[in-house]
Amino acid sequence: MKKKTILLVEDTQQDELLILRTLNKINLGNGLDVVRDGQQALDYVFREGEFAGRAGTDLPTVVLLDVNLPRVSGLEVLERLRADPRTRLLPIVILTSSDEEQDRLRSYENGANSFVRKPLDFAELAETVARLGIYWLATNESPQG
Amino acid sequence: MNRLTHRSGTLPAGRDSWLGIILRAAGIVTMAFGLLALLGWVSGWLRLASFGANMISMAPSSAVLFLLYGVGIGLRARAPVSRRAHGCSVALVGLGTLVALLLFTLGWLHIQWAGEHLGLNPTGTVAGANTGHSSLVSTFCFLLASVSFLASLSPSATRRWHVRLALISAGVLLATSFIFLLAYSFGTPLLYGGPFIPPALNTILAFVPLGLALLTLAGRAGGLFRGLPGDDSKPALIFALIFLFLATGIVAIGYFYFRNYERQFRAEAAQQLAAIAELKVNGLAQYRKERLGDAAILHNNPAFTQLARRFLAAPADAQAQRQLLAWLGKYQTHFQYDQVFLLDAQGGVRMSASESSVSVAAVISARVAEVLRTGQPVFQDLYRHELSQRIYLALLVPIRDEADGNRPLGVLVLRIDPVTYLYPFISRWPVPSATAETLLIRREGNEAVFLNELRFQTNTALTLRSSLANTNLLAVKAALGQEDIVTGLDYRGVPVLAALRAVPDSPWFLVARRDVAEVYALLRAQLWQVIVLVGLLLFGAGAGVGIVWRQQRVRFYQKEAEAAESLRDANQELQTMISSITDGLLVLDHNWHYTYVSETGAKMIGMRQEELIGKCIWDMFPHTKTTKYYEHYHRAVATGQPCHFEEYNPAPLNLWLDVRGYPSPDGLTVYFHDITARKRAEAELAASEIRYRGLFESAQEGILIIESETGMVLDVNPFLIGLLGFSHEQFLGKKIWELGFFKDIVANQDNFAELQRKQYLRYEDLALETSDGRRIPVEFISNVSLVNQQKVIQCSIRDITKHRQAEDALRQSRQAALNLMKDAVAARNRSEQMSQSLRESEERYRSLVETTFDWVWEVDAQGRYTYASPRVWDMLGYRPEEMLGRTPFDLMPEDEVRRVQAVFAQIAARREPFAVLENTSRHRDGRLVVLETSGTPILSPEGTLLGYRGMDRDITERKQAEETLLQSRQAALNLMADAVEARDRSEQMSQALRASEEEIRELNRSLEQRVVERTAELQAANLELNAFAYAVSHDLRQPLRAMNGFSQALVEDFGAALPGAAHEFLNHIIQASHRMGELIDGLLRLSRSTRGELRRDAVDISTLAARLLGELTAAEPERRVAWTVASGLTARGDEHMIEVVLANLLGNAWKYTARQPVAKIEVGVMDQCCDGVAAPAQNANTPILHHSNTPVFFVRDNGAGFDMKHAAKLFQPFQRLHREDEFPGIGIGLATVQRIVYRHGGTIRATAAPGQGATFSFSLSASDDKNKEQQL
Repeated sequence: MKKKTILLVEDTQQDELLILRTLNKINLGNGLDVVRDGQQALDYVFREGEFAGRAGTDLPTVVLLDVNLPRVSGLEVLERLRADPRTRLLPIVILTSSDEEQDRLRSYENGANSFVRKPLDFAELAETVARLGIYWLATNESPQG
Repeated sequence: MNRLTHRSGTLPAGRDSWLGIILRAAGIVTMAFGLLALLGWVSGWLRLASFGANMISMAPSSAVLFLLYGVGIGLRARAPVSRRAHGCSVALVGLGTLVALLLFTLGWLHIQWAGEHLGLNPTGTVAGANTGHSSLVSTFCFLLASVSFLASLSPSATRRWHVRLALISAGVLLATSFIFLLAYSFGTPLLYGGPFIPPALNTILAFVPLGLALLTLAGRAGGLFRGLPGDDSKPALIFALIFLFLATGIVAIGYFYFRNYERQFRAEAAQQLAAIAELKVNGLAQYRKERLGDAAILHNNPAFTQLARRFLAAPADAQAQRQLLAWLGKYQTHFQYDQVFLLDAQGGVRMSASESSVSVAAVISARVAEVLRTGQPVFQDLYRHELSQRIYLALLVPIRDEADGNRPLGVLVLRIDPVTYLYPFISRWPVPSATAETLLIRREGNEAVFLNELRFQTNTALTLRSSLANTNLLAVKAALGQEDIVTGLDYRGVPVLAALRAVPDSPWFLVARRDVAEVYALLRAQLWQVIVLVGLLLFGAGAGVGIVWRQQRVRFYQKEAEAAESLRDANQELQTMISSITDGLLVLDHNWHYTYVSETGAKMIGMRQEELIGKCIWDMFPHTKTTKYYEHYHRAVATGQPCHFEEYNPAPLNLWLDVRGYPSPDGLTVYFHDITARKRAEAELAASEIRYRGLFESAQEGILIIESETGMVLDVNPFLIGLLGFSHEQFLGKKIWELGFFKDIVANQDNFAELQRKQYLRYEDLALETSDGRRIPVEFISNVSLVNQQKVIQCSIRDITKHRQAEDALRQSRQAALNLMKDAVAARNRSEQMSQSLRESEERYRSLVETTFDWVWEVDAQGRYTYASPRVWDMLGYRPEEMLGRTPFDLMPEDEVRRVQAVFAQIAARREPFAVLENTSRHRDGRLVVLETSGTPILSPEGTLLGYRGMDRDITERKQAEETLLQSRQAALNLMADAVEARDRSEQMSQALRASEEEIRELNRSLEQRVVERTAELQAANLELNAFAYAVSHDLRQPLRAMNGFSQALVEDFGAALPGAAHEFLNHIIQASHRMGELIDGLLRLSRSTRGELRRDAVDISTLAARLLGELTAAEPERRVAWTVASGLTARGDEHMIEVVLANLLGNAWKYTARQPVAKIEVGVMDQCCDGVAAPAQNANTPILHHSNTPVFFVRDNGAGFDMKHAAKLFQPFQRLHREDEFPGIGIGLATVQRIVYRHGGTIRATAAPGQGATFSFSLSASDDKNKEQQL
């Protein structure tokens, strides 16, 4: 069985830590790769730049993508991933602090599989992330798989 | 004049006579009935009063009433009733009415007054009613008759409703008598046997002619018989006969039908009764036979006999006793005997089946010996037991010892109580009936005894007895052995139908009876049906005949109306004709009284028509007695010849009248017309003719006037006569070509034709032969002119021997003279013809100078008027004679005189004719008259100017018109000048306008520019705000999440190691972060509410509110909240935003009612018209602003409320009126709500009081007010 990875694109360390902690609690933490901005995320997925020689050949099982990202914004990342045939079907979950209507609309327009608002409350956040992780890694069959 | 009067509507005598005959006959018949009855009473032969046995008779009072009414009717038979007859009849009927009224009242009160018998003292009763008293029905009918009679009296007959009342009363009377009559004829007279006295047959019969007579009277009063021509009474009679025929047929058919039915019915009834009687008799016979059979079992029964013997011999023999008792007991119970007991030969009771002691009735004891002797069982017929007083029937069975030579042992008595079977059997009737019953009769000596209890009488069995002498009693008949179906009286005296039978082998007779009334009830019902049917048929027949008759009458009336109309039209036409002819018309009667004067006539006479009518002409106009009128009128009337004359009527009329009188049988009809004008014209013509005649006679040249058609010489003047020497007579009546001396001019007819053809002929030098043979040179001029449609040739013949040298100079003068001659001739011709006919004269007047429009004048050489035609009066206000001697210049203003004199002097000097010389004269009344004068000079033969002749025409009006035209033209010019000026001014103004428009456009341009700039600025600011909000939503939340998350992580991971205070602090951090998050979210919502596009959807507030409240309820199911949402609340607006508004308001209401035991939340719409009642209290400080048609919604709760003095803070962000620990919240909701409401162009406000709940009312403007939206 292939190793399932989650790519978390998150620029804030605190959120990264909180998400990681949550995923660890449900034993999904070891499949988590984290990148800090949109450009990194693209490089990671397409094995370019600093990730040109990253280990593992596969695409991540799911990408958890923040919207507010330095350099290349999350929505732009989403657009580019959807524009590329290789990642056209890659499951992407938009994970954001904002519940701005415009973000939500753009996300879905660009083919995001989910739009999840990061709850302020830790417990809620943990639950949400856990649900996401279980769903995408454990139950959902990815298009490649 | 007869044609002008209307035809009078009198009744032709012919029909009246037959109506009179009918009335008289009806009256006599009515009287006859009354008389007959009275005769009957007086003589004691009551058949005359009752018309039949067992029939009620006419009361003496009724008979007298019939006499009164009959005479009353008869007196009114003749159409124009004489005053005396009229008074008499009214008095008679009035008396009758009083009597009838009295009798009716008495009858109504059931008082039978002996006075009614008139001393005849009738006695007896018929059908339960005392004879000699009048029936209530009769008196009522008499009253009806009175009403009809009085209503049809002639003075009141002019009112329709009187006639109607009379007709209806008579109709009801007839109908009533008809019904009673039918009932009589069908053999079942009405009211017989009832509580009311029925009317007698002859009474009813007498009412028929009375009713008919009243109907006729009413009809005559109502004019129902009028309209048909007198000799046309046949149709009405035929209709009456047809109806009579139909009525007879209908009644006959009805009668025979009913008779037949009745026969069948009676037969059936009798049959039924017979069958029932038969049944009963058979039943009774059977019953007796069975009882005898019972007896036969014991009779001659050896076993029983032996047992009886043993017992009787040794009463102590217990066995025998027991066995015998068993026998008896078995009989008693088995055969249902009342008592079974054993008597010994001496009649003593030896044994009884029942326990009780038996007392033997005397009748039984008495028969013991007899029974034992005969040895046969016998019936003891119904008897009454002396002790019990009960009725029994018994069978006596003798017991004899056959072995011992028929020794009498005893008698067995089988006693029967008839109540158990017999009586019920008798009284049972197989069909339901109210009166039917069966009587059992026994004959005892001379009496018939009733054996059973009766239906209509108690205690009859064996007690009710009738003597056999009473043979019409049914019981007696039966007891006498009659077996039949009979009608008779029963024990009650009521007529019944009964079947009589004897019960065989018994002393019994049976009567099965039923009341006639019941038996024939059906028949009576049938009778009523027949009567109603016959009545309907009669009514139908009557109506049919009536309708046909009426139609005929209507047709007749139509014809008459048409005739009357055409007569009226003709009269109208005549009137119009008379009033339109200009002739006056008057009619005098033999006494010289005016009977008619036409309007024109009256006007001519100078009086009004009504002033004249009826007056004597000679009284009205006494002076006429000395005039032609008197003489001519009298002669005309005396001779019968028309008269015709003209007469002058002096002042004040000043009239000449042409009068024609035509004598007539009625007097004198006079036509007359005004000929004053003609007379005046004639007079003036005569004067003019004299004048022109003078000219003609004195002319200094020969004038010859010839009729153009024939060439006949009409006139010749003395000069020509003198010139030629022929006499006047030699000229006149000759054809011109016959005059030898004219042979050079017109030698023959052909020549004359040329003269005729040419209008004007002139021979300068011709020779005429005089009587003395001289030939004198003449100048001949002929002119053809038209005088009265007749061509006339005027010839002027001038002797030129002396004047040849002055020929040229004279020519013009001669021409003028000729013209003058022409006029003169024409005038004379006219005047000659004038006298011939009136019509021609009128024509002639028209051609007269005086009637011309112009004023004709002549002046002499000095300019003085020598002639002026009457027109000068109209033109200048002077009479012609006043003008004579004046000059035209006398009438002119000074400067005009100068001007005209200058002009005229030149003309006169040249002796020229002049035309249309305009000059101004002064009218007598002072105004200026513009005249147009034309004239020709009058020259003497020598050529000296004698004067001028000419005419003036008034052109003042024309001048004025010209003046006006000129003025208006000037005015138009002025207007045009004004218009030009105005145009110039307006051009200046429009230039200024253009300049200002330019300015405005410039302003607009800069304004637009500014708007664009401001909009751009606004848009920039909005964008900035959006960016800010966006950043806030992302960046402010993240650190919070971190704070929250790590605090919790700390608690989770290291909670055990932390002291209690650390936990508390961490909790504070977590809660603070939560609150911060909420604040951020609230701020975002607030900012979002003012951003984005505002949509205008139709929003269903009711559904939305209900859903939100439902969600709230679902979230906190433990809360008890009674919420109501009014239905049908709708608004236009952004659905999402309105949802935010409602969510906030309802959320607040939900939140602030948390402490209420029963929370109430209400969503509705304000009643806008009645503030004080339905709407919550208004706060004057925050007036709610809404358009009258914009709904104001409200959310009301009964929660914590708030103090209104803090109301101002309510809608500010982050402002709260409650502490966090009271009610949690961040204070951003209402701010958001307010912004959304404002964005919709609406208003919001709150009213509340602490602890009393709060009401938030808001409106959402329906209009898309962009400006408002922009402001916010």
